[in-house]
Amino acid sequence: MIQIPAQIESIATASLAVEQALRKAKVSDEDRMRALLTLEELLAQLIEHAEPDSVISVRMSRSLYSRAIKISCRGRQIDLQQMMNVDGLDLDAGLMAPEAEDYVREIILRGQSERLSASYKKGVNQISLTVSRTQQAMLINIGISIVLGLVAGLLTRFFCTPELLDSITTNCFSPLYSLFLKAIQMVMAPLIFFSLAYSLCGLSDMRSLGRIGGKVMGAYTVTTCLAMLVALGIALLLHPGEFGSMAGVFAPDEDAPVGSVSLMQVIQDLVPDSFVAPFVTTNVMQVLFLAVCFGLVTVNLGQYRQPVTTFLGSLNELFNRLTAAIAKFLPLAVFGSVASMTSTIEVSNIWMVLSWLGVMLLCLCIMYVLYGVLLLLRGFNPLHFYRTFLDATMMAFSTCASGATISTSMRCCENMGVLKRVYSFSIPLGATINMDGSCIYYIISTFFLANVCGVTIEPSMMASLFLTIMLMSFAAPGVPGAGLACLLMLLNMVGVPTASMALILAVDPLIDPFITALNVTGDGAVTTMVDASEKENV
Amino acid sequence: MNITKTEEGLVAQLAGRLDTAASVHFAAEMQPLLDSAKEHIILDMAELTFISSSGLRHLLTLCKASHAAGGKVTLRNVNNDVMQVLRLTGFDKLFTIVE
Repeated sequence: MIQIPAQIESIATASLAVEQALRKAKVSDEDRMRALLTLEELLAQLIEHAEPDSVISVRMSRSLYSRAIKISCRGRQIDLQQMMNVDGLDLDAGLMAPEAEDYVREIILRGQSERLSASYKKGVNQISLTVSRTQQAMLINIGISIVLGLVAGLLTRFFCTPELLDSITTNCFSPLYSLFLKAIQMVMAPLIFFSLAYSLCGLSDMRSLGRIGGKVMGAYTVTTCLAMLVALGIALLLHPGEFGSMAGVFAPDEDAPVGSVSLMQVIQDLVPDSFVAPFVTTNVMQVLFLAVCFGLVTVNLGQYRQPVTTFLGSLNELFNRLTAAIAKFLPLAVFGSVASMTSTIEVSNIWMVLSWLGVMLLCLCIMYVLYGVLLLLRGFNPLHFYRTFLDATMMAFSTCASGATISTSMRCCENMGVLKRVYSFSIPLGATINMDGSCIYYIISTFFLANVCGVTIEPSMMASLFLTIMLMSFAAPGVPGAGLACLLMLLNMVGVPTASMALILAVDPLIDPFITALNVTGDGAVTTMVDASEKENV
Repeated sequence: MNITKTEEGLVAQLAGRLDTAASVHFAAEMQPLLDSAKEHIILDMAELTFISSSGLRHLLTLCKASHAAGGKVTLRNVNNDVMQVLRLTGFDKLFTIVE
């Protein structure tokens, strides 16, 4: 905690101390600067309302779910709502409105209204400014769900009669995760469709970026293919899930493909009979085909391009939010899944599920080595890269969100001497389309559950799986739950009962930080390689 | 603030923190720029570490004056932290920002 005299000259002292604390706590650049900007306004207001010779106390506080700055000072009561009042401002004209200069503070504070709370007790103003809501909140909730699920499962297993155990599992535990999976299934086709179609609408802009754009896209495609080949190789070599077969335990889906299909059949099936058919049957290849057609045609729509793009963008946002809302129930589904598994499953099958985690981690480690080799081939010291990029990797690990790591990744690239014109394009693009870790997750999980359920994936199906995952890595939105939706579509495609997803639902969130860390490190590695290539051209 | 006239236009070098305390002096220092609003004004922010709403307010005044006089304001060498502030407040859309 620091205390400063309530004087304008002291604001910088408090601001610098808070900045130092936030840097030390590895708060993201965006959250740090947002907090410092707001803090400055709050301190100025407290000073304006302070009693003579009073002191402002500033302290950092941290709870399980958030980090906040608490400020207090004796004086007249502050009206936070008044400080955010922009009634006199022409909002349509925005910052160029004639009176905008008078409202800069209000505009800043208004944007932070959800992060601010104030109280006034015994002549003291107390303000709380939330700096960041911990991204691990979901992980913490899931951890609690796993423990509670284990306890509930063990209690029912050892203290209930077989009839009661069956009744509890069927009526209490199973519906929790089966409802969740159904809800995700409900949104997965439109989610993927609008995400890919909308992404493709921006393709012409990418073309205009010329050489760097081409190099970055090419390098991302290469690393994505490498990641998928690694996962495919490991899946075929180690056969994850095969030693504890649960064939017949999960009911097959009604529309599951039967028997082997030729590559020609896969190509023929690509074109749907009608526009709505792929959405009704959730045929992933057909959904992707339609999305590609939509996206590419929209680019050439002339005067209608903008309204159609806006329409696709709006629906993309709608389904992103819907998926994120459903994903909030993941802890409940995890509880149901863990409790159900613990109460009924054999111990050997728990080991089998853990083996999925092991195989995933092995593939991720191989990719780190491969990035190193690629960097070495470009004449860049991989150890230097991993050391300098560690901040971004750790940030990705702790936030599980590629988007939240963009500014840290850019800073790391800057520290490595990467050209700004390269990283300012490559890093944000990579956060959207480069998903090496996710590709590994899709392949290993699909093969694992196929092996568990005794489903054979034919070579022709592997080829279409490869192509589908490639497109999905480009299209999958970065919202919670999107990964599960994509995996469900893949299971559907290869004929694995989607109910089997319950097996990995419990441990799935544990692998998420590792996947995001690899995705972000991949972005950094590609950016560094393209930078090296650009410098060679000069 | 150090202002020099170059072939590109008027180059003003900003340094340190442009916060509530500093902006009192900045208003006076900025007057020569407002007087030359019809010219191309380049604000070199290489040494600027922080900008608060008070600083942004002055930038907005300069931007509007330049706009009205047919001039142009360019921000140069904006560091990551200041860029974050500009992005968060939407000020990045008001100016041409170059490396």
